[in-house]
Amino acid sequence: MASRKRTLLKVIILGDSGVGKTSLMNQYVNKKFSSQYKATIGADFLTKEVQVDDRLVTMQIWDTAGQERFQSLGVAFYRGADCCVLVYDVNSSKTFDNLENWRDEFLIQASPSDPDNFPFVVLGNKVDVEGGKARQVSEKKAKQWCGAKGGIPHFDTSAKEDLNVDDAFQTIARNALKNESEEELYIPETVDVNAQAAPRRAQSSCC
Amino acid sequence: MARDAAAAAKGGGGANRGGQGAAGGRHIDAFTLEHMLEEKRVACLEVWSHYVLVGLTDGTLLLVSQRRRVPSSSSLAASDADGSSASAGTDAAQAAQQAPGQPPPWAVVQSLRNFGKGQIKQLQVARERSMLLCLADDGVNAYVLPGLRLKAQAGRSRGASLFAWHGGSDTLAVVTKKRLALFKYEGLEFVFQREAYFPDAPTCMQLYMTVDVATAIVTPLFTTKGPAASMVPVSATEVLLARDSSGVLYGPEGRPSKRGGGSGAVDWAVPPAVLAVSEPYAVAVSEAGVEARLLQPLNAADLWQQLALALPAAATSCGVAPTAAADGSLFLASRGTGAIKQLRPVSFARQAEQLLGLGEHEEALAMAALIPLEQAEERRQLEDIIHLGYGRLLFRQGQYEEAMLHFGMSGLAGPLHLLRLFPSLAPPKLLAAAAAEQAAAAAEAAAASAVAGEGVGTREPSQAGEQAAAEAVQELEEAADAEPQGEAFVAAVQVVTPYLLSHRSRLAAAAASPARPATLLGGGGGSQQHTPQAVAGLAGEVEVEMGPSPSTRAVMVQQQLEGSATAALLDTSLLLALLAMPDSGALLRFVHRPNCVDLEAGEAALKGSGRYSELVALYQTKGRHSAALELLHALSQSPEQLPSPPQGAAAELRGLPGVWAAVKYVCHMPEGERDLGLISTHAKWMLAADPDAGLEMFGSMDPPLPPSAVLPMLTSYAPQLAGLYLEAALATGAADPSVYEQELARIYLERIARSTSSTIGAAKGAGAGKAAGKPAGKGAAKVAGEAAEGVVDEAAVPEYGKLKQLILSSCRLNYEALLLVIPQHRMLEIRAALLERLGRHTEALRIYIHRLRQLGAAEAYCDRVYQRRQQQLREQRHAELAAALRWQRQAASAAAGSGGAAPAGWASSSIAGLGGSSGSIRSLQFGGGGHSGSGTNLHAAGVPATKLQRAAGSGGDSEDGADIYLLMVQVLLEEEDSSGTFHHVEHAPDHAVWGEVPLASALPFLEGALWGAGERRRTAAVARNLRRSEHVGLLGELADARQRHVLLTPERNCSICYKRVGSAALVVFPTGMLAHYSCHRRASGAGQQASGRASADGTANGRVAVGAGGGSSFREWS
Repeated sequence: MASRKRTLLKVIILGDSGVGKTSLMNQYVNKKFSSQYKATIGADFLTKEVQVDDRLVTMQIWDTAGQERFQSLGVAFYRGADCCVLVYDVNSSKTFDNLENWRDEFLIQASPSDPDNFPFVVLGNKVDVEGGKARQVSEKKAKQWCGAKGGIPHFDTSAKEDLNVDDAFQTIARNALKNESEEELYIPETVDVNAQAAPRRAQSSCC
Repeated sequence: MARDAAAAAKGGGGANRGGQGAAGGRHIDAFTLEHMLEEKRVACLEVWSHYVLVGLTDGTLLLVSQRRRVPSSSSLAASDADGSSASAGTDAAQAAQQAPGQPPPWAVVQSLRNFGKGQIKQLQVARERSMLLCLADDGVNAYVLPGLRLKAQAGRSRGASLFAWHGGSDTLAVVTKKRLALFKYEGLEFVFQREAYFPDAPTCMQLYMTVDVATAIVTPLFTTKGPAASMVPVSATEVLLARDSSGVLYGPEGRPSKRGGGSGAVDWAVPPAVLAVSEPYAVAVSEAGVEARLLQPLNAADLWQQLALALPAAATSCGVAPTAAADGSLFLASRGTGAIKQLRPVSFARQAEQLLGLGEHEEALAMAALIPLEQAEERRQLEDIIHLGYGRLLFRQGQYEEAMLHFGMSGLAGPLHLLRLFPSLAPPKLLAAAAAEQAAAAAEAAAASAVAGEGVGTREPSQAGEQAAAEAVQELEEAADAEPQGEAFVAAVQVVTPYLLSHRSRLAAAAASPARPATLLGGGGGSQQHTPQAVAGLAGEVEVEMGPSPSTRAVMVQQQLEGSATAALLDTSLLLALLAMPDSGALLRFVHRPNCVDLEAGEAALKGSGRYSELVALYQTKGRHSAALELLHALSQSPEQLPSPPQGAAAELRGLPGVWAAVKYVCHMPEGERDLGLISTHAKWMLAADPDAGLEMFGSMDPPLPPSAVLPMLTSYAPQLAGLYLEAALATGAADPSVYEQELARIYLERIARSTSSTIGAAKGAGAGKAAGKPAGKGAAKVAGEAAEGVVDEAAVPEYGKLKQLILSSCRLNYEALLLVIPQHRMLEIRAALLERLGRHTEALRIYIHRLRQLGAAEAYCDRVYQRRQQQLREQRHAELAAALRWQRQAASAAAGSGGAAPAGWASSSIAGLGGSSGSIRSLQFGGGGHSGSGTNLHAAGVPATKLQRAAGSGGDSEDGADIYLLMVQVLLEEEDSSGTFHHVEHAPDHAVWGEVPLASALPFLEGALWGAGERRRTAAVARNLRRSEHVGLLGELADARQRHVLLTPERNCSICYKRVGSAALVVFPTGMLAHYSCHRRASGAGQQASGRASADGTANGRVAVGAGGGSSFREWS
């Protein structure tokens, strides 16, 4: 029996309170946005099927609470994550500065097998606010930080305007898939038409 | 496609490996074989719209359909072009005749005789061109669909045996014997392009070849040993070729396809004679029957199906329609028997169900993904079931993480489903209650729907709940054996915990949403992209309006969840799960927050594991303060008596940490839940164990306990702390000074009395020793003597000074009462202080002077009394001024109301009059003349003399402003000290009191202030100049005093070297002796020789000598 394809991806969204984690997830999955801020209590997840190249994968997106008072149990959610999304508010330098802490905490708590190559994606949300005039974190600065961390992909997003949300999550899914081990499938370039036909089941005698 | 492939296959008996050779994969019912009709003359088949076109050997074309229509012409109805608008009337009539659920029978709806000349050998629909290509004896003809009118004819195709059409390039390939002719369809006709030749007639070959349509170059591919070479297009770019018992996919450029990343091969059990494709299956027809296999695996397992054709053995020559119908049906005909059969596909949903039954969950999910979009709801329900089943399977296999992922994706997997897998985490009683609650809620909802006319036959909610509870318990018992143990259990719990938490989040979200009952949403799954709660409010959040803060909302949600059996089950399970995991502090934090943990179950679990800190927190959230404090008492004072050794944070609570934990507990006890009896009970051991902690407890409560409640406790258990407590309470305002200052004084007195009595006792003991002849020092005797008088030790007691200070500073004490309780010959300073506050100064001074013999203290007493009196006078004066001003404003207001006006200037005169009355206070008059406002009886105004009040009608005319500044001047002058600076004036008018005041009215005050400042500056300048001249004069006098004459004669010798001084530089000592300057320098060690007749040297006793030889006289300055 050939090795089973991975079709489920676990994605964790982290970031300070109020940066728009839930809004991003809700926009991506449900195509809905609410301008009312409701602090997330605890954590929960949504799922979405997404086509990555020729593969249909299911993303399980975990939205965690950004407020410290609700984070006490957050570490339980980090296990087995395939990708971590770090979200900050481009209009708040503090939320960007805290990305380092979020990243470190994730790596400590999740303990991925290869921390240096674990896929992160950084989203600078709320670029729509005041037409960008309120922006405090420039894209250049954010990309410099991402570059220093091993080339983390960065997106300017707006959950409100649905700007770059799909692209960002597509990248998230793609990077999460990259992290999985390569399937060991034999893919012949050509078929030797003169060779004796060998039924495929003979190759997979384990089945 | 650059190249098109045309191949012929015929003859050649391939190896037949037997009908049941499909050992790999799982059998599935992918198709059903149904009989259509029999037609002995059948030669070929094709499908178009809802018709099956049957070409006969006599050139007749039959149109077979399940939709009966009235043949009205020789053409197909135009409306049938899309296969959607057959005659509604006939269809309805037909539907009425057939059995329900059964498809209508196939029937020939039209027969077109002589459609082709001779035998119709091949039919193919060119869908891109809406044409039917028909090969008959007269060649390949193209007919327009749906009219079936002849449109074009391929030239030189008479006698052809095969043709192929490629819609993408409008290319027609026609084989006539060994010749292949290529045509291009250009809209009206087939234009010959080029031709190629095969080595043999294709109908006889077992060799596959490719022909380049651009160059007509023929390239052999491979041969097959099967009964016949067969091929079928799979897509616009791929063909499936039969090679022996395999099917090989070929793509563009004539190369094997890499479809799906695999080898692009399908393995049949028997070498096929004919191929067909109905996605996702490839179908091979052989003598054994029909075999369907997946073109590529959906996931890992191969799926196959074999169907017997039930045809006579001789009937091996079968024709298959080259394309599948819209519903995926394939049609095949036996040329020998004339039987035409339909291979109808089983719906993807049913196939997915079969796979689910076979335990092939991945394949079932993949199959469900093929369900058309219009059946999305059916697909969702099916996927929910598959995910749920798959999750259970994976869980049993120990793949907990994958299992939970699938549970999370199933909308059916509520918390009960999860917890049934973990009997250890779900107390049966709670599980049954939660199941009953959810079932009852569901039944209630169903009943509501039934009332609304949406359903019938619902059960009573109570019955449903009872049954569900019984089932839940039974399932739990069954699952007990499957529950992992040991490390596997911990691993599984670590995986399931986030999901339990997410269910709790959803429950909270549901509770916060009044539109949705929490009990129903407890079973919501994770596939929220479909679930209603995701639309109504995003799961994982408490969707409340902006108003309350997150903490307030958490409390609101908690209130909503109280009483919910599902919430109780979830929270208890979470407690047990966190208890099972390694201690990270998460459990303590969890129970610290409002929760719905079942107290009985939680208590038992926490006690059993020694997690007493968590149990205390649980008690706290449940309001079980008595139990919590008892436990803290035991943890602090007697942990060895607890049933289990304390673990985790509780292990560190032995001794003082436990006391402080109890203190903290009491401090955080909600005000409404405070039980004074309970606090008193536990204050006893806390105060005994650590008095400071006990005191901290009473001081840190917010809001604080009333002193009336605290003082009895302190008096009983720690009397030494009562004074300290009351001091702090008075300082923070927790105690009313009018009540508790007297109490504090009483406590001080008691403490002093208790301390001094013990000291006196000790001193008496010492005195007795002395009387017994023991040697005693002078100091000891003095102490004993003083102690006998009650003087010495009182002052050493801290409360003595505090009491004295309290008496002197407080104005609320009952001095008379205190004076009565003080002993006559002790606490003399206290007595003096009391007498001072009572105004009995003579008696007080007598104590200081005659009994205490402290003249300094008596002097300080006098100063104090004088200052106090001055302060009283000042306050009285300010009050009088304020009263005067208020009265004046009232008068001005009254005058304005009566049309008159107050005469200018009388305000200042009235104030001046007041100033005069006080005698010692200067009064100034600015502005207005000497008009006297007689008749101003200030005291008649009846104004309280303590605080200024805003005058009625203070917003009067601008003239009123002047009086304010006059008052200010008056007050400021009174407050002016000797250095000419002003002190803060307590009763200074401000805006709130006086209202708007014009700036111009400040002019008199400013003039006076400037004049005064200038005067002071001039006075200072005169004083400065006088000082300077005095200084200069003094300097002159000093110089004169130091000046004297020294007579130098030739006989005078140096007092150092005894040589004559001569005319050398010299120094004169204060004694009148002379010395050479050089000798003096040497003698003093300076080593510096002066040059010249005059030199300055500060080392010679601070003198400067100027030498002039030859009997000159010198003047010396110091």
